Amino acid sequence: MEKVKNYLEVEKHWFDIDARFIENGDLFHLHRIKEGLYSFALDQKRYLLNTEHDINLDNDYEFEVENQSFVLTSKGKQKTLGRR
Amino acid sequence: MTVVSMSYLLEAGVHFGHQTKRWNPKMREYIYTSRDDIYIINLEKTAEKIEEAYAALKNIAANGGKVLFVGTRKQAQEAMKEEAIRSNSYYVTERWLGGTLTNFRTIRKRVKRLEEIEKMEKDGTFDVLPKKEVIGLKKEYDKLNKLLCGIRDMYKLPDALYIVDPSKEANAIHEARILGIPVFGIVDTNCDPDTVDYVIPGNDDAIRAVRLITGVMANAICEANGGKMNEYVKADDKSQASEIMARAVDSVKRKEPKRFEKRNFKKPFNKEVKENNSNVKEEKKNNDVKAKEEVKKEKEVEVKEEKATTTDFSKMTVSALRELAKEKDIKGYSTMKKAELIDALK
Repeated sequence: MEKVKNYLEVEKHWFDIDARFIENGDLFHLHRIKEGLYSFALDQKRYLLNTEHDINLDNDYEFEVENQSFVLTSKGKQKTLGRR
Repeated sequence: MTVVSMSYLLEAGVHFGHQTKRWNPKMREYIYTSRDDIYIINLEKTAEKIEEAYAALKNIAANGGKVLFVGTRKQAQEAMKEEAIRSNSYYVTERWLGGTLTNFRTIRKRVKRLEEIEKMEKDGTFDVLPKKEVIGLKKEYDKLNKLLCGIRDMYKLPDALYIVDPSKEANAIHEARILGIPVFGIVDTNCDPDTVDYVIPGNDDAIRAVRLITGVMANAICEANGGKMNEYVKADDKSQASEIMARAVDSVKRKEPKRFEKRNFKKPFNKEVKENNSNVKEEKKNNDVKAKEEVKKEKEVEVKEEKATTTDFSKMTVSALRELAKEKDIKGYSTMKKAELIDALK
């Protein structure tokens, strides 16, 4: 069965990433701990995300947490879609 | 006196050290454990060291001393600037100009030049000067302002230096050491703590971690000089230290595969494996010896077969015949033709 994707719109990307769920507008914060290591909280649980290198938002970035998929939409892509 | 709660340190991710392969062994005393190839810094020691540094910095500030905040790392720039302004201190968040401390007079001259350009703009000199010259002056002003804005009011050398990442600010530390200025700093597991006088072991990569520790240090100056204080103490304290450290270790559980799976190929160093390895080696040796013996036997058989077929020289090559002739000490074999060789060998 295909996993449900949660799309997030990135608002600020300066080491840490501030994003907002497109569906309900909830805030999401990815805290950069080290290069390629982020921590975040979901449903009052803390998670650690290992991405090998820092997240590059030139393209969408997708990660999975407990059978859920999260997509950080790239700012460049948002602009392109807007123009069309 | 508690100046920062361990739970705040945990939340900010101060306990995350560098990868184990990048460590500096001098940081051993501040490391709690390692998990998934990442060192975990002992927050109890961090809190203890912060308190030590806090007291020393407060003492310096109370005696009228000024502190210079140096943080040129991108993740530290904003926090360093804000906290330095809050505590009425000096700061360098852009490139560290060589000689900022050891060649202070020259740096002061650059500050004077900055003020001169500012004055020119105010008194209307810019309106009289040609456009191109004005553009050049503005460019010069921007550059000087970017580099020197944090130290333009620094008329004498600072009494202490607060840095983030000693390896990045090595030049600043070196200058401070020459002049005998005490250095306070956040030291990660990959740095040399000997270069810093007041070591604060902690993560220097995370914005929140840097902001928290820098905030506490700024609090020390504010407490001495009567500035605005930020609250970094919660109800919990050292009694929960072990529980907090357990949480810190648990927090390093990865959802994705390890970054350094290649490391698994390294041979483990326990006795059993060594014994197994030695057994395997012995078996290999025995096998090799057996194989060699077999090869020898095969060769012997081949030689015997060759000897048996010596009568059929016509099937052999000239070079083989010449070798045989050489073995039998036949003179002039090198110039003989095949037929002559066969005759000589018969």
